[in-house]
Amino acid sequence: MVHETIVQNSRIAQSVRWTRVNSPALTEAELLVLVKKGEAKAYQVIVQKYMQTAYYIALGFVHNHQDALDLSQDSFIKAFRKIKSFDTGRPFFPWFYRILKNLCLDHFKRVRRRNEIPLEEGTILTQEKEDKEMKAALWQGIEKLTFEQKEIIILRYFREYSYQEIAEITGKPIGTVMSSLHYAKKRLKEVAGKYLGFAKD
Amino acid sequence: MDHQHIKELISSYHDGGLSSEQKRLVDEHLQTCQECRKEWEDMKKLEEAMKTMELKKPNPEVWKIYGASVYNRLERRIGWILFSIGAMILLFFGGYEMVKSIIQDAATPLLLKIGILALLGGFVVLVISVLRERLFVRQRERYKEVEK
Repeated sequence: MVHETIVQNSRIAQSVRWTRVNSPALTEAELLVLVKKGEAKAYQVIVQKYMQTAYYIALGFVHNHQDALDLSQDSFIKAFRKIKSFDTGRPFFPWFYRILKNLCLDHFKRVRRRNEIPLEEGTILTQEKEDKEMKAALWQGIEKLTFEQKEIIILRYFREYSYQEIAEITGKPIGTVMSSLHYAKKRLKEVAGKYLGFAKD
Repeated sequence: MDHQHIKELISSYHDGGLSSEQKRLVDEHLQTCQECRKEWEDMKKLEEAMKTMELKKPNPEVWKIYGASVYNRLERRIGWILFSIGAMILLFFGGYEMVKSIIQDAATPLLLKIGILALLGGFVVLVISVLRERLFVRQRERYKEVEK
């Protein structure tokens, strides 16, 4: 049903003039000042800038296209509603990321309560023939990580943020980011070792 | 330099996470430590494998309508809020007028009047109770955004 709504909306979208706004000469901070005044048009530029990142992070967490789409869009809606509490002197994304992460965590709680199994589990990676087993093993390894390790793996490998950026986004010290990555990789090495052709001890 | 610390550094070696000073430390250690050398090679393989992992791209159409979809949902929310406020005002007003006319009508039996007043009293108590609970939950919800 949601999909149908989106298809219907696509027709509306073509008639909405401001959906085509492309990076005007305003900085992000300037745009956000406008957003705080209730300018939906300025917010649209922010949405365009972060939609893919938001979607892929959610996809990494929830493993399902439709849920990732809904959760990332819900996050933008929630962020717009809460924009009054946003400090325009700070970067937008770490603030937004907290909203996204919390919605994903809430989603997990709901799913767990209903005892549902995510539909597309394990199939959200590109389906290439080569190294299929290795990738499946790595993906299962990622699944077994703690939420904190998993989020860092998603940010580092699926969105290619630097250590410094990950520290800023998650609000953790860089040392913590580094050691989380260390333990996450240790775990991944164990589960995917036989496919990676490690030398014998 | 202890072994454990070097191993942590090795995890970030191929990943652009080390300063040149940290890299130099690892390089020096690798010269003499076979175990860490193996760890270094394994990490390199893992790093290469991780870099080939990619999330499935959705249909490009998704991006074209994404922003408009967010806007539509925002707009719909505003629509619903206005609609609910309007409906509530109408309901209260209509209800008030109706109750007033029944109560003021001398022909209405006393028992019916008492019944209606009790019903109204109960409704008001319920609304206040639900509102108070909502407000309380919302206040507590703020803490959800605090990092654990």
